[in-house]
Amino acid sequence: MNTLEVKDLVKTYTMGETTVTALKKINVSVKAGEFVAITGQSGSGKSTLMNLLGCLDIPTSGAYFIDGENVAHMRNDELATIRNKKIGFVFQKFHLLPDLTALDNVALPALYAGTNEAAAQMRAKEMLTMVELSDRIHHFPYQLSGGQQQRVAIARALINKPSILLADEPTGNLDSETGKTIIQLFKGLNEKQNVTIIMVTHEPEVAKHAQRTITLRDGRIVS
Amino acid sequence: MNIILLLRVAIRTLNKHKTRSVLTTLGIIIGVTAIITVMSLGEGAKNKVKREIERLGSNFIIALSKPAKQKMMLGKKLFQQRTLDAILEECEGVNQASPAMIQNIVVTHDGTSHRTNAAGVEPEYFNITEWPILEGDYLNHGDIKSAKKVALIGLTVKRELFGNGDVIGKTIRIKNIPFKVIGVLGEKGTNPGGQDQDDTIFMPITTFQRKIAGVINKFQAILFSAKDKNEITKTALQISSVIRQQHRLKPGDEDDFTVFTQDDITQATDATFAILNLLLLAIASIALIVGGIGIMNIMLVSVTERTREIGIRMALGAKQHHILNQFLIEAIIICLLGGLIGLATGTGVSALICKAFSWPFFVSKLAVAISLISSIFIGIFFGYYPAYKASMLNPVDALAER
Repeated sequence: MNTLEVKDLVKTYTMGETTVTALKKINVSVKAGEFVAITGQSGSGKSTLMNLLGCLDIPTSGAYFIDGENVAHMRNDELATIRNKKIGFVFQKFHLLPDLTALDNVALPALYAGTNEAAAQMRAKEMLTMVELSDRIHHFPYQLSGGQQQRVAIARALINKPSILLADEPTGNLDSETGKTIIQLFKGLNEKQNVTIIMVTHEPEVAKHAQRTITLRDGRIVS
Repeated sequence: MNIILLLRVAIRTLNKHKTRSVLTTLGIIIGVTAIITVMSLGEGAKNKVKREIERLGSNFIIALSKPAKQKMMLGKKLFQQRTLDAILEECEGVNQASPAMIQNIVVTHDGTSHRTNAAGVEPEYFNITEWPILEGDYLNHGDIKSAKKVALIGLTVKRELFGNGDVIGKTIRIKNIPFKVIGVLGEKGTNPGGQDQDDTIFMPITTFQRKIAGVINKFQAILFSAKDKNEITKTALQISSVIRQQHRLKPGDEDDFTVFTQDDITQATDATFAILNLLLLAIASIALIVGGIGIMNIMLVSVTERTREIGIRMALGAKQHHILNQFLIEAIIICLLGGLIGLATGTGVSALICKAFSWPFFVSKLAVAISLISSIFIGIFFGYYPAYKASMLNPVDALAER
């Protein structure tokens, strides 16, 4: 069984009287433990696909299975549960909550899952140790470098042991050296801990680290 | 996410925006202060009047020789002595009675003059009103029988005419008629109408009738005390029916006199204060509602400012109720905090005012309960819409913000 399977996925946007079709019957499947890159130029539909894969948005038609469960027509709170338990997000702009320490940022998805605070913090510490930030757990995001912030975000994405790690331009806001260490971290997680990773990027340099690349153009998969 | 964690998150957020939180709270503080002050002052004023009513005497019934609707102090038709005699004979509930007449006069002593009230009464008057004597003697029945020109004066009259000098045995003049002062009454204070009861000169009713009013065996009012506190209303009804007989009123005729009890006065003032309090409370509530609207306004700004935070929280798995509760709890904390501070300032303000007016000071438990419950309610009511708006945001749009 595929971890992720997308069948005939269509997403259209209505802006006033014009309808724009951002995704035209996309079919994708990703197996457990794969490291897949999604590339394409801006406007190719990769951000739309990313939002749909992350259950942040609802498709116009088609089916989307995560671990065999169709999530295409789920309601808001059910999608929230899927995002919480099955998907870990890593964003281009890190998206850490500025008022929370690294530890509290990482613990947050566990708290939303209903874990008690002590257990969530314990687990958050383990995750921060894994991304080599055990000496920064009480720092606030503004006290951390870009690379460190992104590693906190990765720790946060993995705390609930998701089926998929979704990374949206994870190196986009980092210098190339730091970007490389983040990609190495992804590769390590993928190879050693069998984490399934889907990474959206427009840089071929970054995409080549993935096992397989899906290229989008004008809302269709071209390769 | 348990409630303690939500509370901590909310307090941290409010703490981060201190100025804004304090300004937002101010609206609620003012509203609750207004409510507490109004209710406490209302309670204070009511208790002041209640004390004055109690000072009138106990088991107290009064009959006035004018219909209830008539505004003039004096009725044209006075009570006759035979009416009083009949009441004493027929009404078992009556303990003591005293006729009474009163008139505004000028009294002089040694070149000092003072405008005051002269009252003609019988000795029982002072038992019924439980009026103590400071020096000298009360009137006695002999004084009544022989219509002696003697007077008992109140403290205010004494102060105005004699200052600190001796009083007993001195002569005062009313309408140029000399009266011998035989006693000074203890302090009674103001009556519920606000009149200084100590500004009165008492003399035998018979003397008053002949020398001041120029009538015989007639008077304006009769005071009674009832034997049994629980039978006061029944006794008052008995008195009414005897007076109707004496006045030869047919069934259906309106009373040409008024009988009321201490309970009637208490009930009438209670009703007046209830209306007054309600009115003031309504005005004070407007302040609270305005404060609530302020909170809604700030919460809406807060939701807009924190759209991205909401998006991130949603991406991490926050359900709608998590977001809703987070913002709702912030609003409730602001309101409850404002309510508690308002409670303190309101108590302080009303204590000061009560002290200034020398009213008894009460903080009614009802006021405390009302203000705290309404603070929480305002928080929920005005916080709900912004919180709901936040919870209904679309994660994609929220994340794309800024």
